[in-house]
Amino acid sequence: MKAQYKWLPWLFLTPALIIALVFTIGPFLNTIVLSFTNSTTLGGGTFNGIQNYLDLANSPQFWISTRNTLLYVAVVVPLLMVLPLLLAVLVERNIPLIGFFRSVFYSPVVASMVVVGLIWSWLLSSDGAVNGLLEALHIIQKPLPFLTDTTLLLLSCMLVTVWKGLGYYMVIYLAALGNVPKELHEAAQVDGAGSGRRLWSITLPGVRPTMLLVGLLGSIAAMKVFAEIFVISSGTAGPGGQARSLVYTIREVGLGLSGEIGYASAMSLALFILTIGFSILYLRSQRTDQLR
Amino acid sequence: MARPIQARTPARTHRRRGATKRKTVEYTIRYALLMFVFVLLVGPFIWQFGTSLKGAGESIYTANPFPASPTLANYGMVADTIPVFRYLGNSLVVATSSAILNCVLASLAGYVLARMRFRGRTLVDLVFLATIIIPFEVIMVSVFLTSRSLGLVDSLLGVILPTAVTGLSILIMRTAFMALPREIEEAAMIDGASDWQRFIRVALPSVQGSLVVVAIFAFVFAWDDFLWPLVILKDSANFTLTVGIQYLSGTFTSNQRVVAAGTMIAVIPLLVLFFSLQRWFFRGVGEGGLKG
Amino acid sequence: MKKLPTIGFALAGVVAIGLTGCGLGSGTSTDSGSSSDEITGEITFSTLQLKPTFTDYIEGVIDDFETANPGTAVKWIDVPFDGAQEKISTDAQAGTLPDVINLNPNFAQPLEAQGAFVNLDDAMPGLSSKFVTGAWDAFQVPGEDGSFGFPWYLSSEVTMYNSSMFETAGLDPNSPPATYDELFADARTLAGAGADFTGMHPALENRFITDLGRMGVPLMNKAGTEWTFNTPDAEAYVAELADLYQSGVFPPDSLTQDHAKETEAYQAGQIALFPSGANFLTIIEENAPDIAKATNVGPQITSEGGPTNVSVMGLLVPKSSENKATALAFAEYITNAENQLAFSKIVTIFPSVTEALADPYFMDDSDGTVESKARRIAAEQLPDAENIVPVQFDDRIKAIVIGKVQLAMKGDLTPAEALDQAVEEANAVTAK
Repeated sequence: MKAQYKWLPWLFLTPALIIALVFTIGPFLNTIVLSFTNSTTLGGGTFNGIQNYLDLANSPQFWISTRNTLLYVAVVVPLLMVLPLLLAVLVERNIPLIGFFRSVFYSPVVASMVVVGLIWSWLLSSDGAVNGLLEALHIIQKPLPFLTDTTLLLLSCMLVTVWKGLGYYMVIYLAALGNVPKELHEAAQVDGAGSGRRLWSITLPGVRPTMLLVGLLGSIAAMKVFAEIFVISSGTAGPGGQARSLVYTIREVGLGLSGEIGYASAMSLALFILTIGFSILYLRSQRTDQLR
Repeated sequence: MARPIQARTPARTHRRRGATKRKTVEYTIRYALLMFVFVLLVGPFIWQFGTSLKGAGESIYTANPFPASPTLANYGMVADTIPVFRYLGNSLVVATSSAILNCVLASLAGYVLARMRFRGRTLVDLVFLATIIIPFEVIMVSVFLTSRSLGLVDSLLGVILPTAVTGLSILIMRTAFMALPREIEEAAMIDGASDWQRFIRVALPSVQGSLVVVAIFAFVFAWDDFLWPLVILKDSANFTLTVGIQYLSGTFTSNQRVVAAGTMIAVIPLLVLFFSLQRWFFRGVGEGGLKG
Repeated sequence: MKKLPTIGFALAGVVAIGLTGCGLGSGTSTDSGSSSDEITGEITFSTLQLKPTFTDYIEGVIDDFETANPGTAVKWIDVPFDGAQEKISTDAQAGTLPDVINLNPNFAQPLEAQGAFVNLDDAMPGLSSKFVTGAWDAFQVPGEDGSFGFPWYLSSEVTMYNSSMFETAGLDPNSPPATYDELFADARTLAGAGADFTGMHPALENRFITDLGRMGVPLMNKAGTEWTFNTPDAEAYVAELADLYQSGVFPPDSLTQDHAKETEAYQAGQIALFPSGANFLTIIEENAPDIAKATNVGPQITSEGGPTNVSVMGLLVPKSSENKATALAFAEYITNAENQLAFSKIVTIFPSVTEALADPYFMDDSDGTVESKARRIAAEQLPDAENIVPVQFDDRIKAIVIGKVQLAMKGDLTPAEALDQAVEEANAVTAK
């Protein structure tokens, strides 16, 4: 297993590499080139040095986007690492009707974002169910402005991201739970370990690599958040556009017929560099796992 | 959480009555939790389904999602308005091809990255990670120009190829192979099996659960993708379902019941697929690998 | 061993993309040459989300055109509104725009400014006299000569309102507001009626800039290079909006909501007034039959001496078309009086050709339905209407302006600050 391979890995990797290089990496290298030009959607393309990056540094919108994006990761990722695991444990065992429940729990993942946005903006509206419930419980006196206050709007979007991601990461955890040897659970049970204790000392270590994977995927997804903010705020990113994320801003400046591709490319590169930080953390931790 | 009772040891049989009682309690709690999550997650689905069954005389902007007199007429309208079976067929071709290609290419690449040591492995890791991070919107124009130079415009192949293998699929497979106990393969190596045989006969069957996850994710992703098929396809005969159902509401008509019916037609196959595949999640190490 | 060829291939790909990706030039420079003046051969024709309502109509017109011009074939593509900009821009970059393309003035402008379209003043002199002036002017580029689009169908805003809510609030259900002062006064009365509805919805992204134009606020300078809407009149209007929002005449969540949410709120019986395109009557009927029964219409809200607004759709022929003669002939054919009249009879939209607009059909509301009343009102206001929204008011400018107005409505900025900042930031983007 420790043998050094020469050509065999490349034989296995070639098809995947070709697809990745032709359809993603190549265009992305092109994006890097474009980030040093004043290209627009419809033309341009004169080299303008690091002008786009200077513009970025001076753009309040860029910094708001970056702040919101990092905030998003900080709140959403821990929740996405834990809640779907609990859900997976809940639906793991084959009891009657469990297939039905698993499928229903997956349904938010495939539900159309438009419908999700519609429903959640109803629930979160000032006379919606969430405010109604909070008022009935006397937690609040008057409705909270979930949709018109920047901070609350961001929190609402995070809520939707977690809600929509539950089923997705549950699936990844389910596949991993199958890999935790049943014998360990049985032995622990004989020893009188409670279910909470078994979750902590058997299940968690067993799905550790998967938790890291979910953490990475969750971070990347949170870094790229766009749709939730767009649909919950009906395309305005909150009052004054202050609940914008990086991808939201990238789309705003880069897409459409008068899009500034050069500038948007520079911003994407900034996003890429931020995200690659998480990825390197992930690869590091995996390498340590492998060495153990 | 309730205490799962799986393996009753002979020594405990005299406490059967107590166990049965505890079992009842456990089931009650488990189903109560399941119902709780069900209510949290199922809302949009119910609302959409309810709307799709509402008749022409019923308002859809009411709190009550249930139709007074359910009708299937909206589904008929979908079929009258767009060639829904043709679009379903196209989507099926695209999503199935994408799922198969992802399974094959990602398991090859994931196996190499998890098991073989070779020069350049970190670079390859980063290339695949990068493909997950890069937002597609940023590179879309370049991808379109590449596809055009490869003659892929207006073909289903052009829709499929850019998603033929994703970094996500590779990561999932890589994580799955890494979680496999090495002993299994080492035993096969002593038996003199070649690398290829070890991969096909030992490693692959042990990660069935993850393969199913990759298949589902790739299928769902390809099925739901909207922007890319819209951009690359010209002839309406080639449209996939997500593009096609856009034509259910025009600029001057917007019958939300028919739109809801169209969305249901797009979502139900995904849930059926998920329902029929979910029990395979658990054919991982426990059942497939060790026995085989 | 396998590595080298792969990377070599990828690099070759990158270089190729870099070359083509950096300019529109490669696509559009092949404009003349092969095209003949004969009306024959195949063209592609793209529309903006006209399926499914007009499928039969469009196919019918295409058939007639092909019959009248043997040897021609028209291939129809309909692009949904979602993603339309992306699709058009990738096509423009690749030089694969359709021969006849349906765009609104905003979508058309960046391409017009690039010189992507055939100038109709040169190609078809005398054409302009056939069309409603406000519609023809919508496809000109400020500061440049030439007109680039055949005006096609028009839509014009009317004021829809819920007459039973008017009664509840003690207003005369037969006298809708006609000016901004009346509109806001009525909205205040409606919101104060103590019922479970409010007055109206601001739908800023759809209406704010049009409102300013209708109030006579100069939106841009003549050259179309700078925004100029930070005037005292505009300030007063923003202050009014802020007051209406803070005093609950607009629904609490409406600050960040768009026209789709406004439509939904009207259909759900949450607001009483709904100024919008007459074509929305059909949509209300489809989705909320009860509300539709109570709905009545009045004319577009205007201010003293200010213009009325018209929304225009047009057909443009790219210079890159290899069959311009046929493309122009087809665009002229589908926009002629007869075809436009037939088009307008399917839903409440309006022809841009003067001759068709004069048809008695538009003035006849003897059947007493709200639709025909709306049709008459809209048709009456069309001949003098303008396309008020400047073509430069694209999604980015819109986001900037609306964002600032939202902050002013919330009370975070004063109206003057909001408008000054909006003008400054919008100018920075427009200048690029």
